[in-house]
Amino acid sequence: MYAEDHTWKPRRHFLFDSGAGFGALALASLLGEDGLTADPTTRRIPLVPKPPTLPSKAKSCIFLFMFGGPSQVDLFDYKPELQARDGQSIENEFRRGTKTKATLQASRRAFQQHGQSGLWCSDAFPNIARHMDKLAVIKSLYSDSFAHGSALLQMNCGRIIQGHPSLGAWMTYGLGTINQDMPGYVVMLDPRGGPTSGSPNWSSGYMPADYQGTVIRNAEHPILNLHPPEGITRQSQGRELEFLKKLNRQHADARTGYSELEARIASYELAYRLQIEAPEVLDLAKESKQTLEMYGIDEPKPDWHPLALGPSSFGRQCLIARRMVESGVRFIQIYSGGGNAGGQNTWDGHHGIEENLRLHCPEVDRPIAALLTDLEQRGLLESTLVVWGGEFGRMPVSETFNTGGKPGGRDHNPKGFTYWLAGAGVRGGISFGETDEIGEAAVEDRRHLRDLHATILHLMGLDHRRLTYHHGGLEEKLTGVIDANPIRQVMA
Amino acid sequence: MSCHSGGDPEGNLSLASRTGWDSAGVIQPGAPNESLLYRAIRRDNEEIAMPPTGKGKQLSPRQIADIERWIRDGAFDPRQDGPATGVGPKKRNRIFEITDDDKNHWAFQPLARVPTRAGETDSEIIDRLVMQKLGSLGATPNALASPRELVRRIYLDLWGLPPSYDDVVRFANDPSDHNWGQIVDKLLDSPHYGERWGRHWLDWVRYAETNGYERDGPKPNAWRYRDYVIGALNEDKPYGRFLTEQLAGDELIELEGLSLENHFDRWRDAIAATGFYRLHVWDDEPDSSEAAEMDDLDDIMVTIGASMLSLTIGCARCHDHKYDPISQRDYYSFLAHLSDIDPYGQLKKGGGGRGTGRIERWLAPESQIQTWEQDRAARRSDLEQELAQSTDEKKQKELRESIKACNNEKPPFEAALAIHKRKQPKTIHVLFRGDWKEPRDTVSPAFPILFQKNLLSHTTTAATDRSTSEDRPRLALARWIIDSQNPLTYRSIVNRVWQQHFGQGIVASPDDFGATGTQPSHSELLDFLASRLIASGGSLKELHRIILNSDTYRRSSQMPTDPSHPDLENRLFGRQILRRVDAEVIRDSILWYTRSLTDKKDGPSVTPNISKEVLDAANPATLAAWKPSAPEDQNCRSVFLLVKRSLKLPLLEAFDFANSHSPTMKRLPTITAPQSLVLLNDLWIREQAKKLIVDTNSLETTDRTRKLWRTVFQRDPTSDESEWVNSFLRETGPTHEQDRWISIARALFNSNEALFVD
Repeated sequence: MYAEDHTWKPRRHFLFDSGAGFGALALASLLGEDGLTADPTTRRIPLVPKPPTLPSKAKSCIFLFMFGGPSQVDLFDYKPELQARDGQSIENEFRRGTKTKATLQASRRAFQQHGQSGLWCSDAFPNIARHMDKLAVIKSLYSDSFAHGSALLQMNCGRIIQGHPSLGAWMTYGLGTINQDMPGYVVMLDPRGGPTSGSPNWSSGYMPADYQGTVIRNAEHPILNLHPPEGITRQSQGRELEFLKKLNRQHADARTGYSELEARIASYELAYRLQIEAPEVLDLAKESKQTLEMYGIDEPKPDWHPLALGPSSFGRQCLIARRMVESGVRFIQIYSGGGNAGGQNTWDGHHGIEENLRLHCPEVDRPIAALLTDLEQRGLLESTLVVWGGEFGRMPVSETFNTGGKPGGRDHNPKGFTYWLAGAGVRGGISFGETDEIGEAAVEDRRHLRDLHATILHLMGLDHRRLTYHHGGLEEKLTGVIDANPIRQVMA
Repeated sequence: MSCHSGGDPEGNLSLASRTGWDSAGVIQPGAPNESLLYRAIRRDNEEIAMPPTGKGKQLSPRQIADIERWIRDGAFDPRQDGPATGVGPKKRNRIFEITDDDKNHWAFQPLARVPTRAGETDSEIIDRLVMQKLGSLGATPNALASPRELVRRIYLDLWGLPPSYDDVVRFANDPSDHNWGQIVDKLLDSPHYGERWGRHWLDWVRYAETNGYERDGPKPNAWRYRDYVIGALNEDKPYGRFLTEQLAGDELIELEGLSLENHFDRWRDAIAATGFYRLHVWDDEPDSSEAAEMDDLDDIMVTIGASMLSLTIGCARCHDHKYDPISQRDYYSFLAHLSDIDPYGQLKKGGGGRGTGRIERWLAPESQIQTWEQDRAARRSDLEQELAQSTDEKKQKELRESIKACNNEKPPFEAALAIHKRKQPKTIHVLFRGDWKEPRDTVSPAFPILFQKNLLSHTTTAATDRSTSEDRPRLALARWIIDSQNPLTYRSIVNRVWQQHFGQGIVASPDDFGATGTQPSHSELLDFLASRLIASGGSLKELHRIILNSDTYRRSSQMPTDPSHPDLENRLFGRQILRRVDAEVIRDSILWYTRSLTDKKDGPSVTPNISKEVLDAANPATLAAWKPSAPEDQNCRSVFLLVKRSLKLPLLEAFDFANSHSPTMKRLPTITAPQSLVLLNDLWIREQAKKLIVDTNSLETTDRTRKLWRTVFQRDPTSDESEWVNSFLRETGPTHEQDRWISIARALFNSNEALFVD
């Protein structure tokens, strides 16, 4: 029981010297939690950068989340047979164990092969199509839930139930963060609202709050309570903080050995610096006109549809993501689509897939293409993993009950859907796995989404089997109890 | 190999990697004969023989010998570097059996009798047991803390509110044991005690008032459970009774013949207590409602295990427990006690959402409810008749609406979130891999085999009293849990009470007394306190009294200056630990300083104002449901604020409020920049700082400074501090004097002195 004593002194000294990390310096280890952790060294300073356990060049990950569920058969998963059988009737399992007669609906999109790899991409994504040689397209994923709430949770946290840490939490737990003056894990939401289930999607679950995602709001107020209330200048706040520091200094000096007091003093200095630093990262004024144009940031809001945003908003977020990668943020998630699922405000195309694609594809196509170009030009793509996908895919059949009898919608589909990866460690120009001839269910090289999680962790230099957190008597993993395997075929 | 590898290996055993065979536990490195894998390929008996007869080619004797040698050499994976170092507890054998190690595990032993000495008080026994351990290490304990530190410590501990300056002065004038004991008694007698300690219990049972998930819909009248908990602690309800009411309050009142008419409060409490079963997250749009129902039951099992037994019984849902002597069959037999609970949600096929089941109970006599039902039926049938006869279109429309309104009418009775009994108990099967679609043996209610081996006195009772266990399985479960011979229950609660008083438990893993948990630092002390709790009839207040009157509780938190001190980690409680206060204490204290705290003691929760920037990020369903309470109700104690799973008050969330999804047995305090931002920049903080300043407007600088210090720190300012205030006020700047005072007040709210307890 006393074997740990020798670790005690260096730890405390280290803590004194390190200053506070953004979400940092959990007191847990100081407060005698060692008994609860399998490996106490991982809990000393939560967000201090840690070396990856597997060889990896990846430093950051950008997860582009198409909330609502993008339609694979209209974007990347070209199915000639579906195109040929438009209007035919089939039996369709549209919810687990529940079948109905349904009508096949061919994509109204034109598909083409692109680049040297000849990967398929539809004309919904004319700009992303130019980057197909960079992408590893996984077409044979499946997951466990037909409903948005639980599917989102599973995609983000590995389980269909709430309360588990999200992918970004696992990543910052495993790798720490590079820039201690910025959050290590940020989430940017669609201006139309947050996703279904809300904050559990970026929560740290049963881990300490250090690892939870920080929602980045807008350029003026990027972080909650970042700026003092009206009427308080930076100068006067600075003086207030000086005054506070005197009190805290005196208090801490009378209590030597409690480094949490020092950490709290440091946390005010960090907060004060962050008020300058965070807006700077979000400030696009220093970006060239050419860059802004490439991301589509100056595009006006289209007027053909009340929900249409055009590329401006997502473009801004993608550019901010690049700037965050440059400033050392570990995990950045951007949501396209927001507000209640079920409407055209997300990728949830029940009410007409064509209208849905016309709304959302232009919102992300140019920004994502620009992001890939930009990262590549700056030499950042080899150290940045880019992930694209949603909480599930969509059905190849037409959904009519939501469209007042008119054909055109597509329902949820967790039985077969597409993700793509690009950047750090990814083998570009690869298509992996197949759905059946109509694009409904994964059949060849079927992979559960836990394998996608294992792959993402692997590419970031983390072994999903060894990245564990002791909780409730279990060594919990992102990938859960059923063994998962990284998809080697998409790795360079 | 082709069967036992890949993404979905047979029998969930993957032989492709060390992780696979380790997690399955089929190989005991160094011991081939104890390794299931070796016995299977050697075909010890047909039942375990592998590959199965008729499937695949059997291994040659040479191959078998190679594997035997490989296991004997430690079963290294040649693809990895060297032997993996053995860390953590030993995994159990693949075939379930109760071993001697299990029987000897500390937590399963009966409580040890601790010899006492004549004339020794219980508090002195605590001190003696702690001193013995310290002495054996050659460590000396800290001296007692200063009176001010002590008064602050005990107020913040028992009430979650700071003392007044006068409280401190009064004790400092005569810091005798007698006066200390008086303070302890006074604080325990106040309703503030239940408001503070009730919240700890709510953490442990992951209390929330919404269901989570997509719509995060309300749990109607969940606050009655919160009030029940607070009330039970305040009236010092015997701990066993407290648990029994939560597990089987509805059965208890039947058995005791308590009626609503004659014993309304007791009747209502017993019903509201069963809200315990309704606190879990609940998915209104599950992929499969059958699977979701098992998830709900599992959630309850995990919570019973953590909050009442410190046993990680949930680990045995899909397979036998990997470390503890709990088989999968034990899990489902235990779960079978819950088979009469009407499910939380409706069973539904196909897509879309679903409604809740019968999750509320009217707090009214059955006869009144029936009368009301009959009355409604009569009114409806009148309306329907009228409709049938009416020819006027406009009139018909009105009538149709009246009928609809009649159908939607809620009875004029109060209700509690509670359980109903199922008409037919659910048949419980052992589920292969925890999958509801793979039912195996049917099981009936039973306690884990481990505890049936004459470990508990009542097991014979439970076994013979078939009627209780068959008709009222939950009551049987409660009785088993609260049995004085149950080795876990009392150790579990005593450990957590200790943990809250000292910042760490005698067992450092409050949710896990099994093999993956930690050993108690003072097993005699743990057993002594548990025995005392039993002997007092389950009085938690008495337990507090014993602990709080000890010197051990009252020691200073000064860190030892000698780096070679043998107990720098304070595992032996030679001192107290400096601790940050909980999230609620930060908010409640500020309200207390500004004398804004309302006197709300119970009732429906208050929905706090939340800033627009936070609401903007919430999903629209949450947003629509967020209706802030009236301004005059806002400043209640934090325990009365609505606990909505998807949206928490940022101030509370930033300071590590319970996650409210799974049992939070101990909050892990963090220090983050967002915490500093919220305490500095939140408008609510500014309002409160302003209020404190306006209240002291009439005072001169010196008096005003003194007043602020006495309010927030319960002491006078030092001369240095007075000078800092003066120079802060003197410095030229764009702000008005009042704003500078507000800055000073806010700095006090932010200070470590206010946020930490010595």
